[in-house]
Amino acid sequence: MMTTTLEKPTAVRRSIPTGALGRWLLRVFIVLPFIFVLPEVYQLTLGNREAGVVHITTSTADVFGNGAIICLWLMLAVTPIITMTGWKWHRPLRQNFGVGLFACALADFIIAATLTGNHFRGGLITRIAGHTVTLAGTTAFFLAIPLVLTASKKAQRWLGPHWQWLHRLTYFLWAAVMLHMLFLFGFGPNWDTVWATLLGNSSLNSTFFYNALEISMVLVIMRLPPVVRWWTQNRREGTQLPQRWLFAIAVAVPFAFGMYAFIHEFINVGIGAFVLHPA
Amino acid sequence: MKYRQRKQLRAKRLIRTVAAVCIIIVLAMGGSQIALHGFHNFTVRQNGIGASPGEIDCPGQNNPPDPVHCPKKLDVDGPP
Repeated sequence: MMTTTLEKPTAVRRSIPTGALGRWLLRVFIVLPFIFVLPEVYQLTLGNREAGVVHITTSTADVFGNGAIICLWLMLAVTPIITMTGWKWHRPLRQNFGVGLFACALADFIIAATLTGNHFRGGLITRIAGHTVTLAGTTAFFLAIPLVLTASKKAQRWLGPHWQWLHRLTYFLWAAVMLHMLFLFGFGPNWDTVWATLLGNSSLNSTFFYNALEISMVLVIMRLPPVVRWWTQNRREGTQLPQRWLFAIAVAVPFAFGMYAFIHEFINVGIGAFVLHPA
Repeated sequence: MKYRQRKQLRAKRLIRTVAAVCIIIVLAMGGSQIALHGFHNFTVRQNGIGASPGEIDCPGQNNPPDPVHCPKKLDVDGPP
């Protein structure tokens, strides 16, 4: 005869779910652009429409553009962080930031297509593809469509081994975003400003492209197969710790400087939009 | 070929078509703009268009303005 014994429940150790907390904190970047433009949307729909149009067209590129690009950098940073640390807690953020990037790009695209008549003379197509800069942005947005359609776990199962192949489109999207930034900000006036930008002086918006380049270089280096192999192998074996630390600092510092420039600008223009004084 | 594999192949074809359509739409839009307004208008952008006012760094700045990227100030606000 089987007997069941009721064990005295042991004290459950409740640890702080740092992973979940970190994920939720980072997800703030996905919702912030929409919170920032809420007063402008309210003004546009229920208040002074003319002023609303001027405000929202002034801040859309800054708020949604910066929001989208921050989502892109954070999405692309997930894989290198897995390589470097072996952490898994932030993995779901790759999908979250991808969807956030698409949401910001969609909002930017809709506003650019419908409300930027003052800036771009011409019809709908001219507003979204009339210049190199807008065409590059529109290309990035259109490339994001198949990616966001297949972002879910269900779509991953649906496509099976072909999912990974399709999601290599992300690299083309990344290239289109870089082109968009190059056409938008150019190479900058001179090398002094370029160095200042690389060191995180975010007031020099004209050389934002260099910040993007700085971040992209780090993300590309951390994706190179020999680097990934070397790092993963040494991490698993626990060897070459000083070299790995030096390498980590060498890639983290430029990444942090670049991100600081984008986040600083994002917060600045976002608050400007929120208080209806777009920069 | 198993049913699952066939389904995945169909899914791949479908999503590949979606991606191709997206790319074709973008190419068609860009091509039509070049055909309608010319390559010069397509590539040369007046300073400030598509950028926020804070990014207009030409007039009164230490850096000499580039004549191509810094034409006359745009009158987007209308007459004073």
